[in-house]
Amino acid sequence: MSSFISRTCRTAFLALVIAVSGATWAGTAAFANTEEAGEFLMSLNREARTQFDDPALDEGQKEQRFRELAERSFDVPKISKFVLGVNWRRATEEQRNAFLQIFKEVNTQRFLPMFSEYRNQEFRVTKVRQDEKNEDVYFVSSTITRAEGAPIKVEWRIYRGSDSFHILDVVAEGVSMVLTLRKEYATVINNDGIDGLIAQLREKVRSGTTEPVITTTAQ
Amino acid sequence: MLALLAGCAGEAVRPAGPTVLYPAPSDSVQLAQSQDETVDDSGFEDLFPGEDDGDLEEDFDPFETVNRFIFAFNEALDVLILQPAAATYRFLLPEIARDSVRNVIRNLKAPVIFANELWQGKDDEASETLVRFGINSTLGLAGLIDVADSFGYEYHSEDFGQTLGVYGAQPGPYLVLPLFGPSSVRDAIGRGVDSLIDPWSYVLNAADVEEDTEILRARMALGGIDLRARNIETVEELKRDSVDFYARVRSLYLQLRRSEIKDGEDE
Repeated sequence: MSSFISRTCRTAFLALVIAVSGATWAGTAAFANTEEAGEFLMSLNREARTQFDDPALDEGQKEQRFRELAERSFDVPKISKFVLGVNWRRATEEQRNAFLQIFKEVNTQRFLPMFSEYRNQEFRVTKVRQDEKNEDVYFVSSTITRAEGAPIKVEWRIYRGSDSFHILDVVAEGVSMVLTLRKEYATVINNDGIDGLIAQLREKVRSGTTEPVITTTAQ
Repeated sequence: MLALLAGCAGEAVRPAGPTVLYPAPSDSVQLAQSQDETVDDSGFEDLFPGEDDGDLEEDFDPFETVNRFIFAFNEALDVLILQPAAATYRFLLPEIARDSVRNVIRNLKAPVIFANELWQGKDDEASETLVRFGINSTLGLAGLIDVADSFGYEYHSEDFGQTLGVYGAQPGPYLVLPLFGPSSVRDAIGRGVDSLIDPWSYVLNAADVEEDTEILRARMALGGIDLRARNIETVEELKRDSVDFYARVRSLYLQLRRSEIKDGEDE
């Protein structure tokens, strides 16, 4: 009887030890991931800065580097799906692919100037938290201090893939990029259909209005 | 040619594609992926929690036709008058002078901000606004210099639309007001209340100033020009890759107000 109790106690104790150490281990892992999530954006910022300041690169090469950086940093397929929302489900395979293709270009061009502006801005990560609903998603809060004007608060929603982190959303002063695009595109789709949206985005890109202005004037 | 490209891309995307396009997600997302062929984006919305609150399609805008008309009118005014005025203002006045303009206008807003902070139960902010008003009106030379800020009393703004929002009022239909631009039923009511409680019209009235309406209008115009001058690049940036600028501004406005009501805090 007593041995039964002691055995139960031992088992319970063992279970507790496992549970606690397991929890601690999970805790450290989560912490490490949180750190990594912040580090991902810091290194992205550093990389943009380094490439920008590289005297060996001409304007075209710089743009090419930034382009690669943008394409690598954003998870365009996931963003595309969210941005189209219910319309993604309604779209044909061809429409989806056409949208993916043009949206990738729109997204890249949208962020090219941002990379070049990095050099005059101080980028600081203030807080990183893991999403309760999806442990692979992190919210990284940052402050961007500009040469002139008040600092901007930007929250990044990033996703941990197998190889690296990818940006899903950029929320500046409470305004979400993907949500804004989703609402805007929904209106265009309601009026002109998905093909209409694709055509208009292509026209935007073709006409060069989305073409970024990379200011490379040295200080 | 485009169809050809799309066809090629199509092969890349599926069925072998997903592993390349969606690298190593968690199990739940993996599940969603395998269902991807038929069910599409189920599980995908998990990546954007908080956003998935049911109204993910277009923003509530039953008066869209009228709103779009007023929006176009405002846009025309902006191109013809406001934007050039703002650019000139920014070109002619040095930053320090422009900051003084903003400081004076902010200082005049203090009573309204104070009242709204009290109504929202933000006693600390309210007393801060009161102290700011006292310091800047005296030491700051009638508000020209934001001395209080260097003493650590920061500026924050509240309005009656936000106060209503804090008490749970939803924005209601989106509205575009002539001259004032994006608003909502809630925020338009808020704007009315704010102008009613604004003490300066009563002060001017009591002091028997004849040009009282002109003074109030000048304040409004100057505030508008200053605000526009601070956002010349932002507006250009927003228009640049927009396919429906009206819808974009509508979404931006509604998100911004929601964030202001929550004071930028996380949900």
